[in-house]
Amino acid sequence: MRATLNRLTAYWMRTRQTWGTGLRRDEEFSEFFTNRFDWARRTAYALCGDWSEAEELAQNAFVKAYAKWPGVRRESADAYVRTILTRLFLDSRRRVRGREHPVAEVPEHGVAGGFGEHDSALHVALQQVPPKQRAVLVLRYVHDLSIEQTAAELGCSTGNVKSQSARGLSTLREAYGRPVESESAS
Amino acid sequence: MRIEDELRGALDVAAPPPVTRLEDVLARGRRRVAVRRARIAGSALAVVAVVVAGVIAWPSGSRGVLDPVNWARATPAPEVVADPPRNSRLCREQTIPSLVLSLEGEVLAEEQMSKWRDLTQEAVSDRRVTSEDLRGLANEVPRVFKVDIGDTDSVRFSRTRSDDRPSVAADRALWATGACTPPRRWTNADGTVFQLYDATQTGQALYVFRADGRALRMEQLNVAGSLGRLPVKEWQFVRLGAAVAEVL
Repeated sequence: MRATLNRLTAYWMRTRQTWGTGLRRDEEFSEFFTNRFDWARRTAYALCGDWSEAEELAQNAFVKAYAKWPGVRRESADAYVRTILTRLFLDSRRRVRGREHPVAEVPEHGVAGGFGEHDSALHVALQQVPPKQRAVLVLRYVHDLSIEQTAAELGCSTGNVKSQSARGLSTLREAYGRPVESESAS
Repeated sequence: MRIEDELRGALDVAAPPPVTRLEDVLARGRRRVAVRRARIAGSALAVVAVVVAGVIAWPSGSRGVLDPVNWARATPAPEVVADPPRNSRLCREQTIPSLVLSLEGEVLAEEQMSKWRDLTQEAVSDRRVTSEDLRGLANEVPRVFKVDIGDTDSVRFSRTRSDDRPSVAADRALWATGACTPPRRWTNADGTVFQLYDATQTGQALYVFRADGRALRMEQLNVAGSLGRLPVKEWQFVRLGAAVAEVL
């Protein structure tokens, strides 16, 4: 009985905190959005290879984050948004199979609207990697997360992260179209 | 250059200017919060509604399966001959014949009658329950025990024994009270059959057939004869019958 009462009190406190601090929520969130939206958008671009879709993914991630903002710890807000973003991306690929159009050969010049030829080639090559492996690569190497952190963000095992990572790197090296070294090869 | 190093610089690419405005995100986020709150409120209301509906549908949560309000009427097996049979002539002439109140059965012991009286007192805790002096009554080799409730009400008990299965014994007693409508019946998980006859202005009968062949016959009576003024409500009557049947 006392435990139930304590739980109800805690819930009420949380609810009051959540619902009663709208102004502070907006201020803090606005600051976070201003500082991190572009970072999230670039992460989304690394995942999907399309700036308009990246914009949409990042926006949706921030909308979801806003709804849960009172419960998000500031020091983990980046990870929170990145997790939402990655899962949104994977969900979108699961829902719309075949939305991506792999090309047989990587073009010599990037197709990202002229925003950096060399980097576009890398992003185009990334698009040849299957979505889940691509997500692992982005988290592991673009964001420099550990295997454990990657597994936590993707909600899978560390063994799965290792195997997806190895296969993803292999596919990426092949798709990148020029000889590159690899840590695993060295 | 290693491919991993290439990846580490993947965010540092030339990008078009973002088109998403903070105001748009805040507006969508607030709508999402509002929808979530509405869902929570809706869920809470649904839970309250279910609880309220449950309380209304089952005003006394302790009645349990012994509430006869939803019991089905008995449908006797054709091969069982009822004793006594249905009084077709009487039923043609009178839709609700008077209850036949004639209890007979085995001789009752003093200790048994004492328990039944106590159980009756528990069932009507707000009224005074009396009976004849039990020791004197026991000397008279009683087959029916009557407990008076207040000035005008009483409950009578007797017990019998049958070699038939409870359902067959219940079928035989289908028209025992002289009623024209089949009684309501419910079978307990342990095989005990409860058979509740419709109330008349002056009384109501309940027969309980245990799986071991013992049977309880019980009647509640209102001498004043006003319908709806029987000593206890049906579900209380059935509960009392279940308690008494346990100490037959």
